[in-house]
Amino acid sequence: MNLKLNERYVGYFGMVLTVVLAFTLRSARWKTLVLPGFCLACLFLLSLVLAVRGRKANAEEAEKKHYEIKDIPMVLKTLVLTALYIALFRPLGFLISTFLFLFAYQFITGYKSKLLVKLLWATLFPIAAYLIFKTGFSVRLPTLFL
Amino acid sequence: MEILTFVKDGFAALASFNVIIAMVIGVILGTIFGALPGLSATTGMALLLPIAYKMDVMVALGMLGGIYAGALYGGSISAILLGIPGTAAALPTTFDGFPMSRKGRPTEALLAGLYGSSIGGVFSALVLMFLTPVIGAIAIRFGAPEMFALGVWGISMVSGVVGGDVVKGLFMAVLGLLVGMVGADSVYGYARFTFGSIYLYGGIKLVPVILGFLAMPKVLEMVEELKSGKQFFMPAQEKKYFLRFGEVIRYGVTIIRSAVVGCIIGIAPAAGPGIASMLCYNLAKKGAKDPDSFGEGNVEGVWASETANNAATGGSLVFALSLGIPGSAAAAVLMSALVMRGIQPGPMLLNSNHTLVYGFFAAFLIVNVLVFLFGHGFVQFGSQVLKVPVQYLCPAIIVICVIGAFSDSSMFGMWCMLFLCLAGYLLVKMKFPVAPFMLSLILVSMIERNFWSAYSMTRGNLLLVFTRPMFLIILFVVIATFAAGPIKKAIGKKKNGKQDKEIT
Repeated sequence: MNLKLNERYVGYFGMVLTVVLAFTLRSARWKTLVLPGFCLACLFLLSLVLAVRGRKANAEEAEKKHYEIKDIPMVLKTLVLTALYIALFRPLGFLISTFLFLFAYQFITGYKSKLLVKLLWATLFPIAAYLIFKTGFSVRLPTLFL
Repeated sequence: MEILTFVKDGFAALASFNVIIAMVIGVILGTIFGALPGLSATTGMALLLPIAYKMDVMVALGMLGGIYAGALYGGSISAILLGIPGTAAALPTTFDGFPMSRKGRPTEALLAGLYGSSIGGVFSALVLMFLTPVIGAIAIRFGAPEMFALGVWGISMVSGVVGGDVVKGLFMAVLGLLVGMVGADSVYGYARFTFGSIYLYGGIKLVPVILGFLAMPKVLEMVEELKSGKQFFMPAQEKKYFLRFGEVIRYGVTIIRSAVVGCIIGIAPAAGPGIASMLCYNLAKKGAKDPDSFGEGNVEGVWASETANNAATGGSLVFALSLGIPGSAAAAVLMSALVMRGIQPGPMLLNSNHTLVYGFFAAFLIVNVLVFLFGHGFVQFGSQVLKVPVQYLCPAIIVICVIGAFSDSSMFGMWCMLFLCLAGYLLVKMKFPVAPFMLSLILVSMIERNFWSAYSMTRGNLLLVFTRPMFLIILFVVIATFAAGPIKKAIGKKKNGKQDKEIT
């Protein structure tokens, strides 16, 4: 399943973003406003150009220039799984959350391998990463009971 | 003649098995640190500082120097293989190094990165060794107006990286400026674009941005191709173990230019390897016969970026050692190592303790040679990484990115990374170039802070900055960079016109 993208949406988003960001600067002093004000003005103009350009492109041009995401379900699954992994990173600790993430990921990719291989990969990689980062580089990773 | 005596004494101070072992360990550890996103030379040096305290001072300096040089090289490994710059200085290396990996030329790219890093590092060590007293006198002349001019020069390079669509390129450059302005402003401390969040008060850190905007979208691109069965990485075209002399000389002009310019930019305080590599990449692109091939897998881009970022290290250390002012975070850690041992960096250090200082310079030269030697092993090992099935590679990269974001900025950094991943992925799919965004992000705080410092210095009369010789020199360089393109085109047209006349 593919998703077609158009740069005019970026233009609309840019214009809305400019208004929102400008609103947050309403009580700032002039020195604070100089550079952001200039940038917001440029952003609005460039967003306008993108929006107008995107709308004006006729069907043939749009077909030539269309951008698409080829496998949207796969991309979405990856993003959702990564979000869950981040959400569980601290509560469950690094080892358990990474094990669950790697194990679940192998099912969503549809890669055919034995269950034992999946379990080994999901177990050994987090342990190796933990040893390298925590013991080798003294990076503090969250732990639960493991 | 006095300098030659100092250099001889410096090398003599390294004649110890412990120093050599420490340098080797430093280079290997530094390379690994640099290759892993989220970790950096500064992190590695800081982690080893307590251990270094217990060692002999030359052993400690040798190890710290090895980590610094190794990390700058290591950043190129993940930049080339996976498109994830291990350090900010390796960002331009991804532009051409990663496409080369995808086309089955990872070893060639890794070797170019290794040789460029080594040449740049050796050059900067020699500059340190023989020109520190001179450079110290120049470095002190870099004030706020000069740093502002340098930042403007950097931003002007956006024109070289916007790609074919100028509107999209400028859009990303302005977006980068705005993201860089998130947080307290440098004049009044007013919280800009924070939406009341205390997490944003300190600004958005660079590591989650690099991981979210650059690394994760590449993972999603790999994920898109998973079920199609299409190979994301082409098989390696040939086995390569080293580069021939001719292959290095071919890019001689780029290498020399990147080494010299990188070293000069490194001297400017807080400019650093990140800015040096980006500027030299753009200079190489502007000076190339086929600039359109940059970004598509032109090895010259890798040469320019890696030579410059290692050449900048020497310059940044000059400021720290000769004036006692750290020009970068890594230089600050190095200074801490000296201060812990009761040695005060500054103008008197060269006179009072020249053996130590020149011993460090000699160690810095040797570690860059060690990077060259051990780097060949990393090149061969690194090329094997691409043989890992993408189904395993993608989640492994995601885990490493999450660890990198967590170790730098905790939970907030991880969520930032995910949000930027989504935004970056959509923008990249619509062919918005990432380079202008990153360039602006890196430079904006330097530009704004120094502009207002210059404004205060001159009490609002900014015309006074034109009386500063260093400012005028940098301004001349900016104008020359802008004018070089049109002048080159005009000369080319004149030559073509002459040839047409001769034919008729």
